[in-house]
Amino acid sequence: MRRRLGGALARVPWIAWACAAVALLNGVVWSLLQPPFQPPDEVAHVAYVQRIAETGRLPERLPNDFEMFSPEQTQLMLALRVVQVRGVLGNVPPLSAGQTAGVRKVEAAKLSRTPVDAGTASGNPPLYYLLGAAVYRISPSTTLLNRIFLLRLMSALMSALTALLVVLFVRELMPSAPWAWAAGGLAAAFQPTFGAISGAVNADSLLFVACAGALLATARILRRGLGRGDGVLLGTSCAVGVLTKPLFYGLVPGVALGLAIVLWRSRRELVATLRRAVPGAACFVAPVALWLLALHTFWQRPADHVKDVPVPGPAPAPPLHGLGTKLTFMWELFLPRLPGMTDHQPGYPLRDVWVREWTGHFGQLDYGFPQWVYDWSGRALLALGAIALVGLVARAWRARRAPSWGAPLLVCLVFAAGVAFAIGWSQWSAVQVSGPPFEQGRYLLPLLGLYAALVAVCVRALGRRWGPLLGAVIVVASIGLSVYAQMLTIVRYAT
Amino acid sequence: MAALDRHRVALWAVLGLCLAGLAATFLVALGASEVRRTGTNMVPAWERVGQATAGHPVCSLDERLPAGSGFVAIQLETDAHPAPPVRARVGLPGGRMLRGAYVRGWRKGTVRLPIPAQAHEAVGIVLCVESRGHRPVDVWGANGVIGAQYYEPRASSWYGFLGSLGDRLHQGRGSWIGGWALPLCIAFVLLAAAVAAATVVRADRAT
Repeated sequence: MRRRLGGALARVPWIAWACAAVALLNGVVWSLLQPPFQPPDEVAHVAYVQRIAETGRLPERLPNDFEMFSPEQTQLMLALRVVQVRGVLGNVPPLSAGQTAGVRKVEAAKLSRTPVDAGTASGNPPLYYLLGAAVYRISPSTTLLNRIFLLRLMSALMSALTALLVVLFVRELMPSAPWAWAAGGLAAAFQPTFGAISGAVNADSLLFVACAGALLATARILRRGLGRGDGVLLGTSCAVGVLTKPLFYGLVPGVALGLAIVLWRSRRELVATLRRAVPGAACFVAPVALWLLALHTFWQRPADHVKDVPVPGPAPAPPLHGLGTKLTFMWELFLPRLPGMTDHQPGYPLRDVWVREWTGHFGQLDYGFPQWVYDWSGRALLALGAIALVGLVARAWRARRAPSWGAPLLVCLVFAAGVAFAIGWSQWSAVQVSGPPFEQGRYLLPLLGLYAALVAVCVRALGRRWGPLLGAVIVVASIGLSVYAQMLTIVRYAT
Repeated sequence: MAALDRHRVALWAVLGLCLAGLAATFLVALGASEVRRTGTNMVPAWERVGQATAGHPVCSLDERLPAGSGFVAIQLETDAHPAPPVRARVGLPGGRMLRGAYVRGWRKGTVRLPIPAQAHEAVGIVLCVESRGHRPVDVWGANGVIGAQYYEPRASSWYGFLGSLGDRLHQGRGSWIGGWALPLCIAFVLLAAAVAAATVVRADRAT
């Protein structure tokens, strides 16, 4: 087993290691630049980790507006003026030793470390937080701020693993073009929103690993057939995703379609194929079953505890009802309104919301790039998409007699549609429970592998002569965007 | 072979030009000077908290004056044309009083009022806005407290600001993170860019 793992690691191309190193370096930089509790929902994720580490219990699920963090975290947040800084651009965290005197007092006070709930994170499955609790417990320092730094480093390591898996995924799609893997992998590793989440305590970091793993495993089984190793990778990725965040369910249709295609192709030796799938299935079923068992026995919680708890009092207006309304709402979240559809989304969300959020919007969505950056980013994404489309059509024409590209392309489209559906579903729930939708670019990051593939397809479409040159331009532009975002973070919180 | 060499030269040239352009852009941007904030009392300018007229200042108690502050920025508004001269007054613990110069010809909005710079932070100060005019000057803040942002006395480029920035970046971050955080960030950003550039070149060569 150990030898097999060592062999697998030795076969990982150096480009994947290089992209992983870039993602790790970026994650560490972001972990140092962002003040504690300022990245999105970090207060909630830290509370979840602390709850498990200190009590071994899952957080209680209080109605949405209530948060009962530990006295230690609450007092630290007061000393760091977290609430005053969040969302108010004129306010900054303490900038001098004198202003942080309160923090030192809180750290010396030995306050209780037992939270009751974990705010918006309370409904998440526990895998990221169990890993975080292990890091929390083995930390040589017992102060929460130092523990947060260690947890952020854990997230940075996860982002490195994500980047590595993303490169392997792109390699699976176009094995003969290493320069295309490099362009795609580096564009993903320098993606600013991905970097910001990599340097924060956030379960999304582990979700991205699971999603990249699921994309890779699906691409491998489509290309090579269902082997034991790939089955184990797929089962493990799915188990990690399901045990990390409900957004992973958006990838399930793509995985299911990939498996269905593979089973159809191997229908003449179906029994042998299914036998090879057993270890992978076990890797998925065993951890999920263990979780469900622990929920019912040890933690004594219903399996649907991830549901939103309604806020007491009057329901938010205007309530929307009906399947048709729901589907229209979800369609308009990403696509142009068709004739006959009611207008549920102001403007054109794909351009006005998703391009902006994907390019980068940081902190509590209170700072980001100037508008011209979003405008150019939108144009660049459009150009990339157009070049990639032309490349795919040309490739389809060349390979029309042996359409091996068709199944991976279809599965990639289903992956994208599935994640869009999952986002739409959660936004719909948010509208029903607590008011207007709250779109964030990180919700699209489960598709980071597809972004890398888009870049790779695009540079490959230009051929061996011009492709690497465009790849170099894309990589340098990605570096520029990443460094710009880091400088904006310094301006936001330290000047 | 010659075509391959030309291709490699072209890749080096494109990569080098793009990286040089990017570096030049950042180096020029970092050279731009601006007056930087030393701190804030976290009070937003949401409402009028008082009207300053001659002999009747608007004050906030128990404020903190960050070290090295040369200006305090406060949101002001008046109907008078021209706007009456206004100045900031800072009462230090122990009775010492710092008075800034009067600012004339200001317009509605955030106005920077000079104050004598202090080397050390002062806690428990009284911050007042004084006016010499008879028409009232509205002072903005929230919950009866003036919204105040403190700034350094002189503009500085990012290069001149690096020392202070290094100190600021490890405040409120936990005892493990020290003055090394900023140099490490710069080193890691440069290293990541170098690894990326090397990867692009080597990946092309490996094909």
